[in-house]
Amino acid sequence: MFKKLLNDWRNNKDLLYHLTISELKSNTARTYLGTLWWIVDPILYMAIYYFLVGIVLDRGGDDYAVYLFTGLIPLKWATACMVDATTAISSKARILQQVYVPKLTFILVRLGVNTFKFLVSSFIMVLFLYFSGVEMTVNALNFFILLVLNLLLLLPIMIIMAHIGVYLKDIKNMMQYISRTLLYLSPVLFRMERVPEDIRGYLYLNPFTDFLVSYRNIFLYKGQPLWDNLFIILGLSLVLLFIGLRILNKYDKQYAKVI
Amino acid sequence: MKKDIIELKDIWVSYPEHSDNPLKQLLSKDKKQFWALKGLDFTVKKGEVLGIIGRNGSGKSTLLKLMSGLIEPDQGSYQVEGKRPMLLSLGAGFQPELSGIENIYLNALLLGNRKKKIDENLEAIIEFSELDDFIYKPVRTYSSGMRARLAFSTAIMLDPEILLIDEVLGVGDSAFQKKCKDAILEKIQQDRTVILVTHSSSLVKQICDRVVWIHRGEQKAVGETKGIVEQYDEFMKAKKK
Repeated sequence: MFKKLLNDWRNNKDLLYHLTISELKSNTARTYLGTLWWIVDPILYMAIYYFLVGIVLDRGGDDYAVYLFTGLIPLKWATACMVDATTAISSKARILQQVYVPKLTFILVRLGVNTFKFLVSSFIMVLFLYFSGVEMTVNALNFFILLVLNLLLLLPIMIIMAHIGVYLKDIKNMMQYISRTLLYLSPVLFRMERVPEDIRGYLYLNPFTDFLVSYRNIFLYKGQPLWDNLFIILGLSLVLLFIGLRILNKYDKQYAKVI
Repeated sequence: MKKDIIELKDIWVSYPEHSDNPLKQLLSKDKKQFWALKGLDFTVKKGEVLGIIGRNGSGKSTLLKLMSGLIEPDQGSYQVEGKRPMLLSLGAGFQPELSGIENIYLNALLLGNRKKKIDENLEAIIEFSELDDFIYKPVRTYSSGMRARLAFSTAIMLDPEILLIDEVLGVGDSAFQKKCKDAILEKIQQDRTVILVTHSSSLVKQICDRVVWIHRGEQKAVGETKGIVEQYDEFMKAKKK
């Protein structure tokens, strides 16, 4: 299986690159703002939640804007990846009926597109933090390690979603609700300290909680990521990745029959 | 005696039976199957032009999918010497918002070509397609004929080892159709292996050396073009009555 993966990678890296670029281009083609949307989109997204919680409900305290944004941006990346993954294979029916392409390619393309948007958003977020007077230390560079760990968690989830998406179209609708639930179950809008102590620990069972707390530690509080928790999540991610790749490998020649 | 390049041995392919309730289908134990190919058994020789004929629903598309490696047989073995044949597909991966050139790259990469090879052949592809300045415009502005021209040019100019052709000769206007046919004939001259899949016997008669006739998933006859096409035409005429 690993030999095939390596081989596929060698043969398909150009294709992967071109598919990702073309998807990014197609998304913004024929819009007036064009590529500016990559910048406008996260700003508007952050503004809506700030308006709701920070102004209308008047909750959160003084540094609420920076607190909110450092949570929203990484979670939006994760949920967008998971929802997009559900159609990663099933929407490519026309291609899959005519040419053989390793299915992982399509999943990596969706991951690539969303990660690119996340990086643009993160850059804007860091600018915003800087102008809001948040002092950042060298610890903020841990962002790149967090990025890799987060990618390793998202990829297997996406593979499994993409696989289910071929057989059960309902998964896309379900995923949209799950993402919304995740938004409320992760410390995006609320602060961990506000959660009653006896249930706070359970929130960490949601891996995205650990990531969000880590992102905030490095950007807002000059601290370190939650290394211990992330280490466990890494182990889990690798197991899931192995299972996901096994599934893709097993069904490789089945998808063209059922799509 | 020419060498066998493709060998199909007792090929059986089934599809899961379609059900209105996907959840039920996923969970039920007895999976109903539909057999699309039942015991196909033939070879393709290097440099020959093989025709595969059959009515709609006879299993031609499944056979194409099998030969281009999209699906695997449930039983039997399928072997190809060298690179798997590629279906001369008509722009399956076109992105309407991108330009003709960008789509040439995308489609050619999907067909398994290296970027370098595409760079080298880009000029020839654009010239063959006769799209001129349209090549810089988004594909969504193309007519269906222009799309087909772009797709055919991309596929044929990259010079595949084995050509799998699925009724593509109906593309574009008659002048371009003739050009396509000439290009395929030229490949035949160069000792390329060509597999033509169609339901109409006229083109088969013109270019094929041998024919495989499949009917309802079974291999009805294999042999020299003349004899088989006559049988097939008679069979089809009888059906019409």
